[in-house]
Amino acid sequence: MRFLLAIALLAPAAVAEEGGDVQRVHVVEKRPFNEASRFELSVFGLGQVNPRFTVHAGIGAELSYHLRENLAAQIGASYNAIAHQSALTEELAAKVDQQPLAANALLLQADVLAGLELMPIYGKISIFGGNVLRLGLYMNAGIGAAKTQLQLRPADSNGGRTFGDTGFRPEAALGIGTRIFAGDRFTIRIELRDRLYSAYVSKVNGCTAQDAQAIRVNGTSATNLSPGCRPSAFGGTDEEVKSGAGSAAVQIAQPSSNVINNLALQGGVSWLF
Amino acid sequence: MRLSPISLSCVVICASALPARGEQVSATPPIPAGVQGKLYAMSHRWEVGVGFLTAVSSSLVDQTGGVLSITYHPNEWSDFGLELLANRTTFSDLSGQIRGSLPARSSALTGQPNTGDEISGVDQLRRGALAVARVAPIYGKVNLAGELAVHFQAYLLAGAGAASFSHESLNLCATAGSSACAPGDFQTSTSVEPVGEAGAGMRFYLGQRWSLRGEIRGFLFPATYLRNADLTQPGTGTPSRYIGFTATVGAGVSALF
Repeated sequence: MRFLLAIALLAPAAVAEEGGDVQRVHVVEKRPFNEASRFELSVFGLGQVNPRFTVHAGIGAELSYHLRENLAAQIGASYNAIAHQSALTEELAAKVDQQPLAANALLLQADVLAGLELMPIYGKISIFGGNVLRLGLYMNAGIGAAKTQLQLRPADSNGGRTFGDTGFRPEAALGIGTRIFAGDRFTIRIELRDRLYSAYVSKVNGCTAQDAQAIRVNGTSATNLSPGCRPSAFGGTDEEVKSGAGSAAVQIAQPSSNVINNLALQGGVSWLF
Repeated sequence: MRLSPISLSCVVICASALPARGEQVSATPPIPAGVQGKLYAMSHRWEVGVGFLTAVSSSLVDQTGGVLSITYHPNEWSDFGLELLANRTTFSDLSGQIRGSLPARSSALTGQPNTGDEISGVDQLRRGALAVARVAPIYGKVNLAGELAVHFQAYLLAGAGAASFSHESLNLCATAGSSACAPGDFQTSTSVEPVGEAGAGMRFYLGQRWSLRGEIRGFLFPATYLRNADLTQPGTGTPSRYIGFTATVGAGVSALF
């Protein structure tokens, strides 16, 4: 009896040793959820990461519809609550009386974009060896319109910074980012997005350089202005109007053009529904 | 021999533990919960890395260089050690444009000296040695084309040490007078200052020994510029201190031993 029990107890170990070859197995795991045919609403905080002449920071929102598991159509909008000349730009103006061309310092106040997103790469991460989260790496592209403005006076001027409206510009955007799934509905997104917009600047607040020069001298009572020129948009008081128009006259005296790359790091959360 | 019911039950239970030979081949492996443990262990290993850095935040100074690091991993999630930096620095094209249009050093009407502030942000980080520590809380993998799985680790880093800086003024001349500054005739100085760094990076494993690293770093250091300097007289003005900052992006390769 004891002998029989000993054989029964030792047998599993012997079999395990016999079959001790390392076997490589490939496991195809079904994804626990799918984004296809679902909407996704995202909110972002964003900040410019290439601030040479300008500084931008703001918020954004985006609505996506996932046409397939790895393809989505999206529309979005962003607003830069902070959009002004960089410390370097203001320092150059104050210390050596120099400033960049207007086109190089054109500010992005807000924009709307529509485009497509492709998410071809999936993966997983673990945090300190514990929780396992799924992630996707994506790239997107879109086109839209940008609302732009030009800073007229620096922060240390009487009354602080003032801006002039330079209208809407066509815009394109390219992005690359990661979406970390914290569940089947909640995700965390981190993205680097390059917004490119044309920056031909010849009018501020609808006024040409000649208009701005006339307003600089005569304030809101200036005459023979171009259609659409709004002298009162340069400031609240006549003094501010003259000062702002004077700055605009200098900045657009030589119309300039450029294509600006506004590279922003944006992070946020989204809900799938 | 007769077996008691208890003994018989024991034999049956033990025998049932025997895996069938056929089962071993055809058994469906359990579906893993996620990342199946770390494929590349780091604990108790030394790491030597070399990489290149280039400054991305300084509009006035172009800075490109290299970094050599030696660190020890006491566990899977952290390492600490020493880093040596060496940079090649020059003024940027923008700085050249600024120097080309500097204001007059004295009034054209009265001949009186003009005063002005020195432009800040021109300190050039040349050499440095820092103690550095990394924390790598995230380990993961992504599947690229086919079955190519790329394992990676994301980390934060911080360090402190000392570095030598070269300071060449962008707008203050080294020679007294009212004529425009000649090229190479600007106030210069060198100093050794404490420096701190913070950053984040990703390590992509190429195997048990080699990995590729990509990083962003920010260097912080004390810096000064002169205020209310007499533009015709070098050595005038009041120093004003501020915290200098240089952001860099870099990439490199490292080996684990």
